Amino acid sequence: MSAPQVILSNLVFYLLGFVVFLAARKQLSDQSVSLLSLLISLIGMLLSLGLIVLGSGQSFSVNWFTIANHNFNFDILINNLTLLLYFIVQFVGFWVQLFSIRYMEKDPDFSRYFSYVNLFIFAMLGVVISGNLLLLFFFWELVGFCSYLLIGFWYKRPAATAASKKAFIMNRVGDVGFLFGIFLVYSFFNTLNISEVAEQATKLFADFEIYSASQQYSKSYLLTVMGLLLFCGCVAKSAQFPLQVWLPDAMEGPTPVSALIHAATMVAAGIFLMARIAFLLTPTAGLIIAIIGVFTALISAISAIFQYDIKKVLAYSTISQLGLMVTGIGIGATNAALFHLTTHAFFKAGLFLGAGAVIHYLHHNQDIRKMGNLRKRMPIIFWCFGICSAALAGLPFFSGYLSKDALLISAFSWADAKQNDVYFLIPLTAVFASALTAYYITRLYILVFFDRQGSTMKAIVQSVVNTYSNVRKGMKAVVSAEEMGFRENLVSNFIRSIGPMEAAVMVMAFLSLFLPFSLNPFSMENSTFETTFPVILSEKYHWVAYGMLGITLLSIWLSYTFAKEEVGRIRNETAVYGDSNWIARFAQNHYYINSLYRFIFVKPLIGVAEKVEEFDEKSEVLNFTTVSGVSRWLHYFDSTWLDGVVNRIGTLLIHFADEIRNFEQVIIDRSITLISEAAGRLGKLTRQLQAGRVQSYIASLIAGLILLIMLLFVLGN
Amino acid sequence: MNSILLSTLIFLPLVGSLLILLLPDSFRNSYKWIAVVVSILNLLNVLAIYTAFDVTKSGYQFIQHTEWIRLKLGTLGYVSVDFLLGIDGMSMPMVLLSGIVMCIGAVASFTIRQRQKAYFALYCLLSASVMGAFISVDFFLFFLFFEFMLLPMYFLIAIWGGERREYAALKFFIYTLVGSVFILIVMIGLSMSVADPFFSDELGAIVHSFDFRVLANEANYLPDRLLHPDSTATILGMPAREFMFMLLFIGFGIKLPMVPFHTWLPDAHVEAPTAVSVVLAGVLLKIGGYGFLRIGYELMPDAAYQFTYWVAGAGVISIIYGALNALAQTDLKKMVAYSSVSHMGFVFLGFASVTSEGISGGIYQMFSHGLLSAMLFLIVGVIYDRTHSRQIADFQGIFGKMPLYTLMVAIAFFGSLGLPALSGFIGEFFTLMGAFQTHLFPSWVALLGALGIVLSAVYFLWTFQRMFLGEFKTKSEFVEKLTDLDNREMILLFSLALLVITFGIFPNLLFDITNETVSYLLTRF
Repeated sequence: MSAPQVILSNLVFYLLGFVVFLAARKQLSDQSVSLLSLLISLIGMLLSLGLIVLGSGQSFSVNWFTIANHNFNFDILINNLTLLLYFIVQFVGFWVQLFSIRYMEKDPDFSRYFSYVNLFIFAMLGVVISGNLLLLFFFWELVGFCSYLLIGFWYKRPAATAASKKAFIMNRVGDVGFLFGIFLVYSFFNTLNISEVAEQATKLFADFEIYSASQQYSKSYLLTVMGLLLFCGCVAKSAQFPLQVWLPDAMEGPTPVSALIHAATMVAAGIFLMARIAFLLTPTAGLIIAIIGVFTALISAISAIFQYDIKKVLAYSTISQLGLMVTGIGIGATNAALFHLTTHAFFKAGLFLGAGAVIHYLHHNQDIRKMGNLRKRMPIIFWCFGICSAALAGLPFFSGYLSKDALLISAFSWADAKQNDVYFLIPLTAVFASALTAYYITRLYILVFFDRQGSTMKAIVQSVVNTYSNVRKGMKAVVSAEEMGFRENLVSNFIRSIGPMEAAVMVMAFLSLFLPFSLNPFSMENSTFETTFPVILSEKYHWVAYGMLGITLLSIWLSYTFAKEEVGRIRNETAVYGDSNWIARFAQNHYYINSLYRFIFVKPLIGVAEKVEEFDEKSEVLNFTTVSGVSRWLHYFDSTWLDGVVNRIGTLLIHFADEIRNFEQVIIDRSITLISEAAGRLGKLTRQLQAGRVQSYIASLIAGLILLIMLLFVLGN
Repeated sequence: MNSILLSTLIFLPLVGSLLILLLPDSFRNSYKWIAVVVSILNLLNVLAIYTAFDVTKSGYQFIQHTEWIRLKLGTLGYVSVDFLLGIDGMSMPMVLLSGIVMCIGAVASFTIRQRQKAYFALYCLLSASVMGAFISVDFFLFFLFFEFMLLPMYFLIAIWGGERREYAALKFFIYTLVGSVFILIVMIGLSMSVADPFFSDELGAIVHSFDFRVLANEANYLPDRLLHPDSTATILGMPAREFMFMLLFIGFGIKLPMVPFHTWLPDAHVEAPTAVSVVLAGVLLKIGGYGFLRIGYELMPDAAYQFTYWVAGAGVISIIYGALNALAQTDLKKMVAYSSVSHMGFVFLGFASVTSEGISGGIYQMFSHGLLSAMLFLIVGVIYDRTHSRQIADFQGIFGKMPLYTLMVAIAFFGSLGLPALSGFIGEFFTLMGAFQTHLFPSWVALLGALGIVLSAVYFLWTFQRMFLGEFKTKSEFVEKLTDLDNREMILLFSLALLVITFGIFPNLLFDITNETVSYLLTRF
């Protein structure tokens, strides 16, 4: 099988999954749905491995449709980037679905859930393989649609439906920019095929070197605009400032969905897009992108510190990490950004799945103030969550350390090359954001898992020792077991105690270790990833890695201290709900950006925003009939003024006809009765018009007009 | 054989109409079936034409030419009106759309209970004149059908409509009539300025023809006539040809409808019965766009060039104005009606760009809107038939109660807001692309148009959220009445949904047809 065949058959499986699970949701049992769905993903994973064997650099194109002489093709472009994401999407997809089997169990819409997930994976794979921008946009929007479906999966919850709508609309806003980016590419290069655009762009940029910037001003200006317009798509999908506010709301969806879509894959599509078209970015565009990225990373990291909802912390964390990736794109360290995307996909999926397990265990309670003491109750999740957290914080021996340092070192080298110290603000901000990352994840970990009383650290050390000896005993038991049956029994017992949720989290935790990515725990250089996606790390800034480590450790220590204090406050129930500190409130509400948008966009437009967006849990009936704002005024204008004019003309005409009839009756009655009868008939005719009998009128009107106009032409000549 | 296909499109419904009129009342139950069979036969006919259509030709195909009226006008020579039918890349999509929508409308008419005889006779009559308008190659014939359409439409609204049906019907009638007067003036003006070369030779006198092919050829224009391309004549201070183009712009703009001549549309839709709304939005509005392209752009490209700002402006204003108005509606049907105004704005925006993307996209948008608006009005009909309420605020969480219905609503709503893989996307994408590409007006105009796709997402999703999502809640008297789709509704909505998806994924089904004709049209600019 050739690569396109592999891909197409793979896609067909997911599409079939979507259609079958949706159509036969009443006929299929939950069990068969989950098995089938897992099978589809398993096949997909195998196929994606096969695709990797077939290798990159393949492209495939078949004519889709033609307008005039422009061909719009169905292009598939397979490069390393494609292969990487193609695998990640299906791999994470598989484990998330495994996790979902337990998480969504007993949900009446189990089948519908899996159907949507299959559609999502289909669309996401479509984005990844698209070799031209139209096709990419096509799947891009479909991915957004799946996100809409899944955020609003529990459609009876008003907050969920509002969040899904918001996500879709904000993505639409970004997509308009993306759309015009595509148009600009089309009018500039006369093709949408990414490889062809790349070829031409390389030539164009070569010209840049030859001519001075001033001569090429208009061209470089257009290219900058083009890059930024395309970046708009990324801003929306990867939740960057100023369109980032949909992502925290998107947490209303089922938690495994948050892991798959809003952490690992879909939000990474923006980064993927930028990596695909990185060759189009001019230095100016890159700078703006980097600034937006690092700014987003900073503000959302600050917000993450003050959240009380476990998923919100992770959501803001995702925005922040995506911000770092976007910074990487902006400074031209595309591969470092991709590396972070990859490691992030696993550890963030692990964190979300771990959070999902916690939420499931606590019967859908997401408030971290009410958690704690989970260490002993869910030990596997405790350890796995810890590993993923360490990766997020960027501790050595974990994957995050490798990728984050690659990003930071690249950022420092980039700023160094700029000959202006102001540029160092970007890497420094990134460092600060990373330090905050370590802070909030430590806080979260302590609040969720640590005991609320007593010294948890001591207990953990003790338990490590205990676990070690337990494991040794267990291993001995396995080894010394004389009968095969007993050995199998032990293994199967262990597996049975794990369950699908734990299994998924464990896999993600394993992939958050350094080992899957690099043999050297302190550097990614010469790793498999690095040889495929070369990352140049300047020797000069290797110290950044160690400096960052120091800052991270300091931040963790600070967080540990403050979090313990916070635990104490929560225990004493002082200042548990609502922070008195305005800074905390400001950050917790994400700087009131939501309210600002509501105030400047939604409210002027329809005027009811608050009632719809901020559902009052208690009030059951929604009063949304009171539309006001611009749309209401326009409609008032439309129905009262514009239509009023039309109606007024109508009444005037009728009055006029009446007057004429009266006039004629009065004048002519006095003179000749014969003509007065004719006038009466005319009056009848006009009355017929009012009564609605128009067919005779139309006939006479047309006949009259034809005669009149012909007469005019005759006279004219 | 081929040549009969087109006239069958017109005469078959006429025969059907006559049959319904002649059958005594004891056959009451067969009226609707006659209408359905006629529509299906017509659709099959259209499909036969579609498959036999030669996509490599830019001109008219399946031409059928019968001399009809030859009037001697003294020294002016002759006026020749022919029964001239043909079909090309511009009209083929519209004919296909009419075939589909008239079928859907016929089945949707099953809910009509009163005066079935008159209703279905008029419906067949409407069907004939709609087809006639799209396949006429003679301006006079086109105008006849265009005008004649009003007659059945007027009665369909005025007799079977809602409470304010007479007002709405009369308003619709007079509005359109005013538009037709403008078109009539252009028709006579154009015809008086040309001479048919072939017949003029034959008869030895000037023969004024209404043949589109003759009117489109600049060589046929008589020198020193009012509308000769080089004519310096002015009307009201405007060059004569531009003045004529402006008349067409308003005339067809009323039909499309473009803001500010759209106020007949919400009233007509709200009062019309479901099936009539389906036909009105699905087909009749398209005659505005089609006629403007066929007559304005094809016959007067030079004037069209001068008017591109106006046309694009009207398109953009319609898009935004319609969308904002849709946002303010509390009545679902009115919301859909205003969304039509918004979506038809894309058609003018695409045409104004005078690029192959824009014009093809505009035609695609008309086709796609035909399918989607038919779906939307059927959807409104479903809920109205059950509860006699169309108020958005009366319903909440219908999904839980009527899942199949909600699925169809989702396809129609998302198709309308331009989700890829559904037909609305292609039309909007390419009209905007054309508007962005063109050098005739600045690209921020296209950006304003794109505001429409954000707003359409807002009002459709908001409505969807309010009516279909959430906990099921409605007035207590509606609870029992809200049952999921019955078989007839299912067939109607499902077949439309299938078409929407098909044309969303395979745009070549239409673009292949339109390409040659549009390319040829563009060579005239």
